[in-house]
Amino acid sequence: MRGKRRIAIWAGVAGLALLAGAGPAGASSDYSCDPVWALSDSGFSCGNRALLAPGNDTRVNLFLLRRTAPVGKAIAYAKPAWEERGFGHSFFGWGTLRDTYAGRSGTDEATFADQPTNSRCNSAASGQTAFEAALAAAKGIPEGERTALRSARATLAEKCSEISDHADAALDTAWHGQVSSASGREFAGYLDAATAFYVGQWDKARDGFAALAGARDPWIAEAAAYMALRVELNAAQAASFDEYGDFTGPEKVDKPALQRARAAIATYLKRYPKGRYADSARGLDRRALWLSGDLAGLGREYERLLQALPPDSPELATLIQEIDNKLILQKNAEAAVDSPMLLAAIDLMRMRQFDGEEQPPLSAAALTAQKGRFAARPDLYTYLHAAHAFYIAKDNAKAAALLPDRAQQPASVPLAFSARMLRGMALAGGNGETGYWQGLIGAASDPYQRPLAELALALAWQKAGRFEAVFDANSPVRDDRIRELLLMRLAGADLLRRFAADPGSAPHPRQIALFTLLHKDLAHGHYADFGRDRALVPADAGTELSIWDFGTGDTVPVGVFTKGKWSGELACPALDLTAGQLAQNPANVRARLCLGEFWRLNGFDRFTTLDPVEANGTLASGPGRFAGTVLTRGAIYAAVIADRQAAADERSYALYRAIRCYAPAGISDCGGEEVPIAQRKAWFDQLKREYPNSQWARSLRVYW
Amino acid sequence: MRARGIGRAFGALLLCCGLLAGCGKQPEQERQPAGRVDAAQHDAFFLWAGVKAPEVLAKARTIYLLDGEVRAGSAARFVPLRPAVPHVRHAEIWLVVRLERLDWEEPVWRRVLADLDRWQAAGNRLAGLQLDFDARTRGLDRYAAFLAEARRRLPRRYKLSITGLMDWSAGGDPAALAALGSVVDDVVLQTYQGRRTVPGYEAYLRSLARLPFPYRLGLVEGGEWRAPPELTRDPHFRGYVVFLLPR
Repeated sequence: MRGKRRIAIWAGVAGLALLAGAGPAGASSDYSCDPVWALSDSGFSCGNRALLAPGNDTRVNLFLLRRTAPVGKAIAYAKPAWEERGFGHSFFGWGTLRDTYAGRSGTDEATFADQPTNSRCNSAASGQTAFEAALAAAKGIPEGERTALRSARATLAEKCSEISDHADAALDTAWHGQVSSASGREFAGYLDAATAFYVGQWDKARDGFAALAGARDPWIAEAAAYMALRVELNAAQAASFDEYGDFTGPEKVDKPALQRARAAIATYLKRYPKGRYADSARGLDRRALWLSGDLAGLGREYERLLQALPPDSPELATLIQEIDNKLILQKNAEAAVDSPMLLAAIDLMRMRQFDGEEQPPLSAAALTAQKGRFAARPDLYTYLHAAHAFYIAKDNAKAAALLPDRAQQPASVPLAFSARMLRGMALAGGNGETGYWQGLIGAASDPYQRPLAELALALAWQKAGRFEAVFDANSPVRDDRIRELLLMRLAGADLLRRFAADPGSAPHPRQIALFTLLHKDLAHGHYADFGRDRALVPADAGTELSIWDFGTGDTVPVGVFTKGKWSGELACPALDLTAGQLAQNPANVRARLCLGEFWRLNGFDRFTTLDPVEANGTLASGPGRFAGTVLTRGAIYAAVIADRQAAADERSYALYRAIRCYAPAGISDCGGEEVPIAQRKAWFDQLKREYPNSQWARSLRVYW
Repeated sequence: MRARGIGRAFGALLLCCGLLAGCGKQPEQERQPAGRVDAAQHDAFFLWAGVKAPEVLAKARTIYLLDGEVRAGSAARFVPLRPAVPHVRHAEIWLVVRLERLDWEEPVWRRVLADLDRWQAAGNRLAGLQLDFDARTRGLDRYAAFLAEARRRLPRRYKLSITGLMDWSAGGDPAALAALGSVVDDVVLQTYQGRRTVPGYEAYLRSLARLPFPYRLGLVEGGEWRAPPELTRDPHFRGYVVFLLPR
């Protein structure tokens, strides 16, 4: 399953190799998103891994490619985004990785907006502050003129139009009459040119800003030089948007205007290398390269910047976002780029495979043809070949042979770590697998590496039928989430009880273990155990069960087993008494109905998170070790309906509830096999026929 | 952790219109595509950001155009995704905002309302605002409050549309659904995830018939689609909207 709905769309389309979660798009109607709990998956899903891989977000791969030295010190994990709460540290989102290494930069959202956007109006409002500050600093302008200039500037945001149809818009210039001082007239000239810019009158704006090149006011002179380049850039792209507002490509861009824009950018930067708009001008120079379709030039500039910016800086993260938007996802980027790092990121992306995707993945021949472009990075080139062998050719022996069995570099350099991970994955199933992963766990020190190697070890143990080793006292598998998944789906009662009772267990997995134990005690018919295990519930435990995101919050609602609801329409004793009656006699009809009431009233319907899933190679898949068969509400009602000895009020209630299981959509909330609608009708008729005066028959007018 | 099961796996569906009268046109004559969704057989579309407009759009009567989104990371920022203001002359358009959270701050509201005005000023036949939110069944009450807020802020000349999730019909609290339905003019229930029609959609469509609201169905281009016979008999069914995929 691919992430959320739009993620898939996005990945293909908009150019953002953006991940879900944050992600657009997903499989369910909430915004969480589950990673595939294995060391690889074929496509591009939720959750990145600390090894260079096709399934990673392109930005993550680029970030890992850029890192050529270990961190060398312990750094704390950033708090995962809300939708990544179930990731543990084996998986991560791009934003969380960035925050872990570079600190929270808060720039990610903004960099989404750096597409070739016809966005000149954005600065119409924000430019007011700079204008007013310059006006306040200027000398020799009478107060009345200042007021007139300020108000005239304040109308720009409203006048601004991003559609060129408005080029001949009639503008109010009455305020001109109030400005006569020399300095004031410079500001007025600036405002005229800026107004022309914001309404799309390029010629007038160009002339107006040119006339201010020698302005005496320093801000006016600099701002005019900067605006001159924006005029040309906007003029260049003006005709390149279609009727739907989409950028149609470099073909429609005005090339002479683009040349003028680049010249104006150079002029500005030469005169103001540290100017207040210098960063923006440099960014716009890349925009100009992009608009011209010069992906090779853009690639060279990106390579230079990648090397120039510090590896853990927010600026680098921002640049990577831009590279992703502007280059990596362009159709012909692979042919145009000669930077090994950028090419490797593109190649890995092209090794993704989705079900039903028409586009074939990167071919071995295409990779071979790139050899010359990787001349400076043979290590990286070899890794790509190994990745191709593993992910595409499915030739594990070849992949393993390509990867060194001895690290040339510290294992925490991302490429070295990736090589060791991939080698282990290629050799999986062989002798010494668990020893291999234990060795890597000891050597991996950068964030997210060790938890991934821990996942590898846990999977190897699981495959060998001894996942419980994860919980041994000296186990190197420490990631809470890995442990929790095993506890929830695979663990037997003994392990759960031992873990839940051990004060040395980490608090969150300990609550998970206790909840799982108590739930399965009841569902699997271990009623006497439930009575004892219940004593482990802390007095202050919460009771609000949310089945859709169970276990990902800060607390786990184990209190539902001590303080949950137990009596609704059917009069029932407290849950511990019900469990006690069932421990005496598991066939006690009333007690069984009351157990069903507990599940119904506390929101356990459709709660499947703790159920075993079919073995599929992912963590915690396969048959669970919790003994006993599972009881469901559906099974309780069916048994009571079939029991002719059952009391009238109990049997009628079972009929009533069995029918209601299918409200309102004809889909059962009560677990077990669904029955056809004819059976529901038969129950309804039976209820009306055999118990016509019961409150249950009277209150039910339809069936579902 | 996402729960499994068809209930959740489902993307979308349900709902609508308190303003039943204003909720939609009479069902258009829809030819039934044979098994797969062929955009050429339809006249209403979703155009997402970054999807190059296909020729079929030229004969569209209604286009839902994604303008931008409000992402989980920030309630204060509107992320624009459409590079320029559209100027569509041949079809009615909706300005679509995809949202991942409901606690919008003032700058987001201002930006969305300003974009609506810009699109209208550009000469588009702008129907109004569509909010595309994957609301959890469980959060429907909050969603209703959010929609009421949107309705309050939206000038009367704009209509309000939402996309809906199929499992709302199965799991939604009737009162919460009714509250949602009382504030919107148009509902498009999505039948797809990613590039595919949700497997087992037929089962969900059956539960739709119980909804007392007009709705359109969102189909994904190229996705599987066999209209159940009862659909055409459903008086609340208002036709299809096709989600266009990149070429």
